[in-house]
Amino acid sequence: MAQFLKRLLAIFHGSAHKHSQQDSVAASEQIARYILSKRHISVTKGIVRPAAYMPAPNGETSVYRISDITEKDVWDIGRKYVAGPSGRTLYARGDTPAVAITKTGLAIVPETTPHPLHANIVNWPSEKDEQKMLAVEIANDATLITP
Amino acid sequence: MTAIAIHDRSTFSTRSFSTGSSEASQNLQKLYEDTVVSLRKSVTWNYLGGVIVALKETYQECSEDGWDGYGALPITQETYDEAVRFLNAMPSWLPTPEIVPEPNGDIGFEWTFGKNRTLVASVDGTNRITYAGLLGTGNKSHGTEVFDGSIPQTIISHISRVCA
Repeated sequence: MAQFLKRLLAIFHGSAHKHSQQDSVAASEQIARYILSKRHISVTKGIVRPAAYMPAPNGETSVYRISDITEKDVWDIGRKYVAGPSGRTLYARGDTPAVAITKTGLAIVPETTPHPLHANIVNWPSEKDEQKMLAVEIANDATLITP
Repeated sequence: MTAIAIHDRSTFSTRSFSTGSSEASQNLQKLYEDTVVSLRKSVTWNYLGGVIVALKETYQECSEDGWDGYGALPITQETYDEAVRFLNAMPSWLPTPEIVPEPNGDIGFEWTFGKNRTLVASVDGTNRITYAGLLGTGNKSHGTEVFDGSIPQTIISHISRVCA
């Protein structure tokens, strides 16, 4: 019985992954931003700082879609695919519903490299003050999660 | 009797309204200026000590490409120097900011006082201050100001609003 339930769970888990990586990002999905700079969080205030969401020099902010996976898997992805390649410490992550990002006019586009659940926040404005404003708004809705 | 009138007591200005030309008057003026300079140094250190340390540490941590794991640009010496000037120009009655490096190589100064009360201003070594903030529910503001050595009134006003 236990074996059967495990297999059933694996099938369901697999189909959920497939579902989320093929479709556009739903407003209700949870989006995680892994944070590798301790200066981008305040543990005492329990906040993610806006700079954590500002776009990289390539004009995108790398995030992961985490609605369909376990908490352990969320951290495993962060360690293996984000912190690992750069040899840095994974200090925390910022979680937000996708709508907190898309309501600002930004878009979340699936980009399944290096992982099927990877996505990018795109459509950032070119002016720095406008970028900063959107990052402030996203961070205001973010929840700080520490390992 | 020799006397001088102090120009502005709130900012420890070295300026005074001295009209005297006697040796005693000039000595008094010099004594006043030395006292103000000395007092200002100690007050600035007490006020900014921890922030200056954080700024130095941030500069050291973020002076290479990719310091955030996502390809961030390094903080340059020019940006660091401008950040020091920014902090030294801050009126001492304002709360001190948190130092936050940004992926574009800017050094940010952040004041957060709860949800919907955040102001972030940053410098990039080109005498420009970029800022954005949530100034209470439903109020937001962003823009760019020239940094000529003093903190623009717009930014002082926004900091005052988020910490009120």
